[in-house]
Amino acid sequence: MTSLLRALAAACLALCAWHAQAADATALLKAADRYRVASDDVQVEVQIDTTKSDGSPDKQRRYTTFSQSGHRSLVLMRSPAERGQKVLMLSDDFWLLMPSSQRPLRITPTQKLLGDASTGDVATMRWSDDYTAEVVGEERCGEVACIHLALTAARRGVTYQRIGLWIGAARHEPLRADLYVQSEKLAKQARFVMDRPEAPTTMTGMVLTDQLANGRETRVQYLSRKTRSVPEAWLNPMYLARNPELE
Amino acid sequence: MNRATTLIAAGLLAASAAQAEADFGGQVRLRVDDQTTGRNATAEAELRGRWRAVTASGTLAHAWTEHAGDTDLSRVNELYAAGEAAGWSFAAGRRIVSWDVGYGFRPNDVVQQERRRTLLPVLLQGKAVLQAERFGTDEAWSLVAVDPTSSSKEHAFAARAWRRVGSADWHAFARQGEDTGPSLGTAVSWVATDATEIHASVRYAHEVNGRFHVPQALAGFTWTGENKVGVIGEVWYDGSAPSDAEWADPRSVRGLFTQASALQNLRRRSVFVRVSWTHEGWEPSLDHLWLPSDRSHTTTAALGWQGDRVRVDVGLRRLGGPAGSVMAASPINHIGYAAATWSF
Repeated sequence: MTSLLRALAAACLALCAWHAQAADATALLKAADRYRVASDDVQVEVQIDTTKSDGSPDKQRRYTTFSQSGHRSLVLMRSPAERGQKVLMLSDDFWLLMPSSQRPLRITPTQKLLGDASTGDVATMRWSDDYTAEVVGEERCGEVACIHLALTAARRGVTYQRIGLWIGAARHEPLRADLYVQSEKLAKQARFVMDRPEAPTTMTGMVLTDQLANGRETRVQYLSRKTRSVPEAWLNPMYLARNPELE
Repeated sequence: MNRATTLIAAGLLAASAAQAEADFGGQVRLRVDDQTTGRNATAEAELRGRWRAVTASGTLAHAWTEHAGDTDLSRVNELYAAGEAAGWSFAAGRRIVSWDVGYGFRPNDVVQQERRRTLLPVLLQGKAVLQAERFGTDEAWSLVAVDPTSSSKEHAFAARAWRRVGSADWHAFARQGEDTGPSLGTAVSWVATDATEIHASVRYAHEVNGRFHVPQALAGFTWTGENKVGVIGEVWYDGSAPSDAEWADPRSVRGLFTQASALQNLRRRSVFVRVSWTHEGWEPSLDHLWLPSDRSHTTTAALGWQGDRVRVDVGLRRLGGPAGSVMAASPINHIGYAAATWSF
């Protein structure tokens, strides 16, 4: 009887510890997210510079991203070569809209991976919306102590199935990440750029190294952020196909 | 499109360019074609602009053809005004209205009726339309009155209803033509897995190209792998194309070839496959159109490269088949092309 009680007590303690760790991991992830966007509905201007395998500049692209509550995002492409193209993401459903057409094209989660910085890289602003987190442990990240989190996709349509995320132990700012696709391949490695490394308040960009394409580098810069809720119609693919003015 | 309208559109574009906040852009393309019937070269500029409620796009081109010399072309692709009132969105003017879900064939593209499988993407010329649309959270309705144009010599009224149901888009289409009468259609595009999208489209028309009680149907899929390889596969049936019996009758074959440019499909049954790979700005692709009725085929190999603002495309399309097949009898059996496009 005593041994049974001991076993029950041990099981309770283990369960409580697991719950506490899960709660800790979720809180840590939300803390890391605060460096990316501060509110549910936000407009972010993004610039992406890609380099060739030899390190020389390749392309520059500009995007406007509207990230809204309920896993809804709209990406407007601003560069001359892509002007007028849009990608709408409503939870696990995605559409590509080409200018001068009234045909929103349904695209698959895999098609979001196309491009130097996939649409998912540009539009995903909050990990805590899309992933469940687990604390792997405390590690050293160069000079600083950091916490290693393992993120697992909580939804079907996310760009990366699994993410290894390292955040600062003291301030919980994102430091780096390993991004894995569905097949468990390491697709990209991300290094996050903060406004003030000694006392960070905002993530100003990230550097993505493509592990599936000769280590090409993509530099993502968040040029500006502002709180903005867009009209519901903007989140209807058929409305976007009208090529309306979205400003 | 007459010169006056072109000048009006050009004026609007210039006005929009003068506005600091205007949405203005375009592209310049140089293209060289080498085909069975001779060589052609084209220099064209596409301009797009928006000024307040008015959107305009136009094409200015100069073409040189080996046996016909030089020609100039100016065309207004779009020139329309759009606005919103009482929960409805309205548009009036010349506008591109592309519908349906397929790639190689679109039975329900009942307004624009664009030609498919062009070697390079071209800015379409819109139709003269009055359009009213309403949008809900997961649904949309579109009503279009279409004026006659050179490619569609009848007044027509078309409607489209769209509804999102989970991972599928459902469409319903109706068209009433002044001369060709009614047609009804439906289409679906469904994301079945993380990599696969499946689509289908069916239409039944009272009359198309002088043929009556015409069924048209398409089924296909797109697949995209993590390695950035993409595959499109489609099969379709077009009841508006000449029948096997018509092609078998020597008295009608010459007439069928003279109509060929107006036909969406030369034979009723078609199978289409396209494979492409995207890698570091490069996109090689290979597509194959097979007509099982006479085993004729069209194969296109292409290579595209997208830089910061410049895009380069080269490719070769070959048409062929057994003796007596429509592709073997075509006056053109190959087209090679090279194009450079600069976007601004």
